[in-house]
Amino acid sequence: MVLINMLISAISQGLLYAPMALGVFVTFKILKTPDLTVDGSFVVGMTVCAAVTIAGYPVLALFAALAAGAIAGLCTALLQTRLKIEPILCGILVATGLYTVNYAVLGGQSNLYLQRQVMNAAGYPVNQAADTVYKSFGQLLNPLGGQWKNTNTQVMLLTLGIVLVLVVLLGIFFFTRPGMAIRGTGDNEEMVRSSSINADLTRTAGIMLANALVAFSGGLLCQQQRYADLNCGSGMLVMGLASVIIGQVLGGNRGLIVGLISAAGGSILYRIVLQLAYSIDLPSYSVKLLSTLIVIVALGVPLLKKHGFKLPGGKKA
Amino acid sequence: MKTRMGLLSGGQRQAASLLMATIAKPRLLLLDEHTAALDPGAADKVMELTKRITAEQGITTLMVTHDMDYALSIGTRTIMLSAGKVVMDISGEEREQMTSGHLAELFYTARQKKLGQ
Amino acid sequence: MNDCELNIQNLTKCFEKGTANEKVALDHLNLMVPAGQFVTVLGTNGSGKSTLFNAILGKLRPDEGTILLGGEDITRQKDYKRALNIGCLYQNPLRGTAPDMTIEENLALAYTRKSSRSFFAVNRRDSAYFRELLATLNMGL
Repeated sequence: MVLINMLISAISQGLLYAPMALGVFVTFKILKTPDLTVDGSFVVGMTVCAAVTIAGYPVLALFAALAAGAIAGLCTALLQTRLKIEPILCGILVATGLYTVNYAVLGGQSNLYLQRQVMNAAGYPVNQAADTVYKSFGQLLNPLGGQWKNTNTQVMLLTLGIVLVLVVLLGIFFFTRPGMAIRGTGDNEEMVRSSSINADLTRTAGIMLANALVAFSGGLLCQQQRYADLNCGSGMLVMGLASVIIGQVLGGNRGLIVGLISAAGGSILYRIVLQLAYSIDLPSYSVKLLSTLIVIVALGVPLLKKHGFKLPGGKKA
Repeated sequence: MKTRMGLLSGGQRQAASLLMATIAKPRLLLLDEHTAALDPGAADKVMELTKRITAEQGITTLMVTHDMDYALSIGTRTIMLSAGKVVMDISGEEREQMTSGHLAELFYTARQKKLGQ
Repeated sequence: MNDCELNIQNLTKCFEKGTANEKVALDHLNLMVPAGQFVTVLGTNGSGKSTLFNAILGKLRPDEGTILLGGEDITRQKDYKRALNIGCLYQNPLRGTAPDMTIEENLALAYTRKSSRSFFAVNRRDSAYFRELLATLNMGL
């Protein structure tokens, strides 16, 4: 039972981060331009979601997170397309600037719990947990009893539903003309321009979409863990990349739909790997080094293969 | 049709590019030595397609080439640029009289002049 | 010649103007091409061919002169806008196509710049048309 609970918890975490992996997939694999805004836009999704959730609108809060991420993406895109600044630097600039924004959204503090003050019957202020989509969903499932009452199960089910909808919507979108134009922009921008499409616009749309997804992920995590924290974003890009890469190893290069599913699946698998690492008593702070190593190995192996290096074990890579 | 473009040969990709450039019936087609990087067989094929498609659709076309034979055998007019100006413009009978040897001579004279500057 | 499809007047482009490296790439060039004419263009490296093409395509802005296409002044039009009416092929066969997309998707993006648009970029009717076109190429596509 403990094992199953651990697995469910890992899958839930993976699903919560899946939109972020999808966002990273959009920039890295579709636009083929690294976007470092991710570390900032994840947190902006979190903080904006927290603020709106506390105000009492948990569903609206998730859409607000989407919008905030899109705006962050728009900033990066404008720096890229209008000012022609290096894409990597654009992301760093926006992510750095966002730190201040996020701080301000949290009301000048570095973390915020999803609770609000209400007056009790005696007229004293007390803290009350703000409603979240997970809380409402839980209230819906609780009467069923048994495993349904398990919070981790509830988180897994609701997030799974949300991620499935996202994957389907993205899968449809990338086969419409605007979506295909975004894919073309990453693949061969000149060809897109030759097809009388404003490639600056499609690139902007792509970056906005990616960061909206990342921020949405931040919003989901915020509602699930019931707090927002400014430091949650650091290293997010590397984790997203690790998920995308794990997904690619499994799914291979078999078109867009498989790619989207693999990215989301990669996020789940990545969390399971982390869970395993914890269970062999690796400290939780080893996450980032582990993620970094996964990315380096995954990016490095194809290159080593090309140069004919032999991997240990005598097998030619 | 469902094959990834990246898996095609150079000639096939250029033929597909030609189709893409003309599929929306443009007013003008620009060809910048578009067969120069292909192997001879593919180059001939793509050139044949170019002739056929431009003739069928009646597209106004400018084709840059370094091949004197192509320059005279395809189309109905040949121009030569040098130092940013049109220095030769032949069509009709004058063009028919022109041999690729003579054209090459003119071409190299233009180049010498430029180098001499 | 008012019925000229392409009418280039006085086109001038100078790179690094006013420096020691000043290079006149286009020198008051005039060129008129009637509709449907196929013109072959010769010229040594640096004769101005590429600059001329880039000016027509909108990839660089001329210092002086006008370019009319079908009677419309396109001299200052954005490159992607004039791509509606101009097709271009380069020496490098990789430049015109997107490698990670299918042949069909490539054709669809090129085709739908003018044809009526459906929800999905590729629809069944267009798809049949593409298949027909590819068959006429006789290139094993």
